[in-house]
Amino acid sequence: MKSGLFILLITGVSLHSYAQSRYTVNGTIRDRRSGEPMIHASITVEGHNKGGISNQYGFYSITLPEGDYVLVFSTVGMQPLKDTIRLHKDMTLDIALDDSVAGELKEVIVSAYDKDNKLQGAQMGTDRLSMTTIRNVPVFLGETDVLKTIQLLPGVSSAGEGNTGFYVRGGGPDQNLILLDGTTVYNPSHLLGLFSTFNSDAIKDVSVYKGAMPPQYGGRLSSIEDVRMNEGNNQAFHGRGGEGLLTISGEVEGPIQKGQSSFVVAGRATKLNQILSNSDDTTINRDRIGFYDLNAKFNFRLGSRDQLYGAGYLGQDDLSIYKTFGLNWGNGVASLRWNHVFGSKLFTNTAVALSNYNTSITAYVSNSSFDIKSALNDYSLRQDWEWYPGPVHTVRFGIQSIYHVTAPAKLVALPGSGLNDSSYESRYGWESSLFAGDDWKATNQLTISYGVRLTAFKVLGPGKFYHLDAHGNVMDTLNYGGGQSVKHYINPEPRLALGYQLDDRSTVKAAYARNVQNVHLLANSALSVPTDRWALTNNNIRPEIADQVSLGYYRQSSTGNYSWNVETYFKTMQHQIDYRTGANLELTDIVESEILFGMGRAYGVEAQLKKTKGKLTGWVSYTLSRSKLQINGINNDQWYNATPDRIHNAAIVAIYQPNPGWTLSADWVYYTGSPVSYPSGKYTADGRIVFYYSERNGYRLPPYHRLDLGAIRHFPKKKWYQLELAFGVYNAYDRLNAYFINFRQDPHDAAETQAVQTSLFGIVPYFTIAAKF
Amino acid sequence: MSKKISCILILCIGSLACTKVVKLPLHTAPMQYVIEGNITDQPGPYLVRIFQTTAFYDSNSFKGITGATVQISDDQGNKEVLVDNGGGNYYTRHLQGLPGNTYMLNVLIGTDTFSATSTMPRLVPLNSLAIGQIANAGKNVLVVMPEFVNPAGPGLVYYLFNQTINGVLDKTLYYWSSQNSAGQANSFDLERSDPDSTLHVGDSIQIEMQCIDKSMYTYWSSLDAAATGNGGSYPGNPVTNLMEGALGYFSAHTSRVKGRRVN
Repeated sequence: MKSGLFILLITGVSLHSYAQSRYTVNGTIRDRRSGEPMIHASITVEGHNKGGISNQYGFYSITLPEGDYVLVFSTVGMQPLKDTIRLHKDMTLDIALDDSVAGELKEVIVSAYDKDNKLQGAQMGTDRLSMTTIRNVPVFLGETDVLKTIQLLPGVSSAGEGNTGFYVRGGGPDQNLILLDGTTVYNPSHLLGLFSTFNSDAIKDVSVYKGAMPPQYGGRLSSIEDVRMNEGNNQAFHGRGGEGLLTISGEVEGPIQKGQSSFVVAGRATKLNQILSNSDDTTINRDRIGFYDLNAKFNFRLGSRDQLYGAGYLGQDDLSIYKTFGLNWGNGVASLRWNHVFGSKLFTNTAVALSNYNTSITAYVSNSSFDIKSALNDYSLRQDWEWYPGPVHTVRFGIQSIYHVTAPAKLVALPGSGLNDSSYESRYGWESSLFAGDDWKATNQLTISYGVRLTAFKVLGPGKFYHLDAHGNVMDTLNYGGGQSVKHYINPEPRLALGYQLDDRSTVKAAYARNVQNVHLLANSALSVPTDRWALTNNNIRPEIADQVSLGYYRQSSTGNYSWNVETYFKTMQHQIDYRTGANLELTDIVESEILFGMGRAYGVEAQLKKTKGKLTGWVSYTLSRSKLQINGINNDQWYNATPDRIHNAAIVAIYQPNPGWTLSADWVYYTGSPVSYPSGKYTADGRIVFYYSERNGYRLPPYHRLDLGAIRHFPKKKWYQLELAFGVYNAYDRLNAYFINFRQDPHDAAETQAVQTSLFGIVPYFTIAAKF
Repeated sequence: MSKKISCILILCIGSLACTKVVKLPLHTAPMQYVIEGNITDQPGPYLVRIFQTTAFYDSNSFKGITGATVQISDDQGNKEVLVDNGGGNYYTRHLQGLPGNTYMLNVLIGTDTFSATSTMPRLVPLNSLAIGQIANAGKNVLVVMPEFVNPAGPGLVYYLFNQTINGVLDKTLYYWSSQNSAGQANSFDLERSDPDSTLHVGDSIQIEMQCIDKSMYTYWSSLDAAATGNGGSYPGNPVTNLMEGALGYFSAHTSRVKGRRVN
């Protein structure tokens, strides 16, 4: 399979080799002021319909016939740069771009907009957000938040206030792969979803791929969120400090050796614990509610062809009610990567990384506590190659290998607690992928992106593995030794995308992609919480597979002020997971006996209208979609609504900049309530009221909608600092959205039952202050 | 656990969260039969109740089914047809439950038959009741601790406790297993799920401790997780040992009752 593909690639590429002398110009595009590499900056060859795009590390390579050319380097927010070259041998041309001229508001606002030009290329179902956009949209209590802003895009929906995660095109929260500088972050949220794990001060760029991802990405069914950290200013020291309603944050960056190496460190922590400890109540002042996180990155240029990066992230949450209950969780990510350029056409990135996710529950029996700890560790290695063989091809290939270890639960009890220490079996899996793909500009109008990813998953011992009957009872237990192979799955994932530019202002695109997922989040609740259990593919839990076809139309107005697009998709999913009633996913070795498997399908239409220039910018997005499951054992084996099924999902985002001193913003979201199960009757058991359920997910929560308003005052720059004050209101019209609805015996009339809705947030005002150095 | 976590979240941001009673357009499923049968190691008569579900917004009274044929038999060859006392209540006359025996329930309502099997586990004696003070969500509350010792095994023991306070049944479901406490003195206290609830000095407490079989433990734990109407797990009907689609359960269990006054 793999050799066949390479032959295909090479023959495809060689067809376009000419006898005429051809030379390559390559280099790195950076921001002159900070030295930050510019991701996806475009290179245009003036007078020729040719060009290229810089990669994740700012590297570009263009091969042209011998001759004189004018190259134009541009990216939003920066002044385009023209450079005349005489190409008669391979050459290196590093580019430094300057900021758009300050004070020219129009230019600044152009920069506030997302960088991708959907008219180009074949890739669809993607969105890129610049940090400027993200900083201007208030999401929760004035905290700017990468993942929350993504949830305002079409096809992406919040899982709800108080929930970890989000839904993309009808998939569950675990079907999104969240990458920080290429390494998986398993739980993307703090405080049960009120904040994302990413400190905006440390983030440079975010790309979202909604299912139709290129072959270098994989591992989840629904989406990839590729979050890239700043590299740190290699020219001068800068910093930023801020204080909000709930958090304080800070960031420092600067050169280690000017122009050659730099660092960035950013941290964030909540202030709630100080507020709690000031309480006079002797139990409240021992409660703990909060989180911290820390991002750090270093990079060193080792000559003109090599660059070395070290990056780390550490975050931890603590929710503890004194002597009642405690919940801790955290992510830790560390990576080391090395970029090398071979010759002028071949770029390679090699990385080793570690990702850890851990949770700990502290519970009490009588007055003594016990802890239930769980952990997930990924040890990964990847090597990516990018080859720019000629003007019309960009070839990417590589390998990835991840060794997963999950330790689902370990019960640690203190003496006198009346409990015995016990631990549940760790699980081991080795996931390896081999991928290759080519972006081929077949004609001036037609771009074809094709490739394949081959994913192998090896279930490894040691441990007991089970054969189950249809009711989940163990029929047979098999013992495997350490490193012994239990089961081996191999799945090819073909990827194809076509883009055809109809004219200067409109493009149609179509794509097909298969995605495979081998880590599964088991959540026995419509509410997603940090202690939901990650399980690896094993002999019973099979790899989840999704096949998605999508079709899109993209158009820009003649002035370039407006753009709009419509995408539609249809997705089928295999080996989807739902739960037996009352499933216990926590303290058990045989978690697969608690779950059921079946099929899923999701389809929808997504539309977005954007205004990208002028004092008023923003977008309107609307998604009409469905997501359904068919699982034997649930709802008489009929198709039913999946929890992420949101029929309507709309967002309006408006940013108004009347002058350089102010940014005003508003966002409004609306979505259909999630499917839920409500009782269809009641009875008693041993004197207690019990509710009778005739189907799963047969009802819906009330629709969710909310308006947020925000304002940012940018004070004039002082000699060495600039102040920024942000204030606004969350949930401006005080909509009481349902977090959940409970059913109970009426406390005032034992003969009746009633439904009770709980809402988390009404209207909340906020302010934050920040200083930039 | 997710139920507990959502409660904690509510507590954490309690000042911001709010609740209100809402009226929902719930549809009513066709009525279902509910069978509740118990047999214990105490002297009979034992009761099997048969009634129907009712709509959510109807009052909490349930129509008993009369005229059914109800039979309990055991693996020792004993067999008895229960007497229909009206109102859906059927009683035994002679049968005596014994630990170790397996009991079969057979019910015939019109042309519908239902059956279940339950094995009465060995007895774990309830030694006494202690009163303790624990912290619950920022408050100190008084609770009962049943004093007994979890058998070391082999095999697990499953318990259900019913607490009656001043003659009123506490609606909290208390179930426990020796899964993580084999060989240890019990440390499971009867902490009420309503965080405001505490026992008060002077309360008269009665605790029934049942040793139940595994399928009944599954019934009570799945009922608690999925069918009490609380947020948390995906709601659904408890996993019952009744075959052929009836709701309810058939439980053969030991029963020991002790009472005391809170002081």
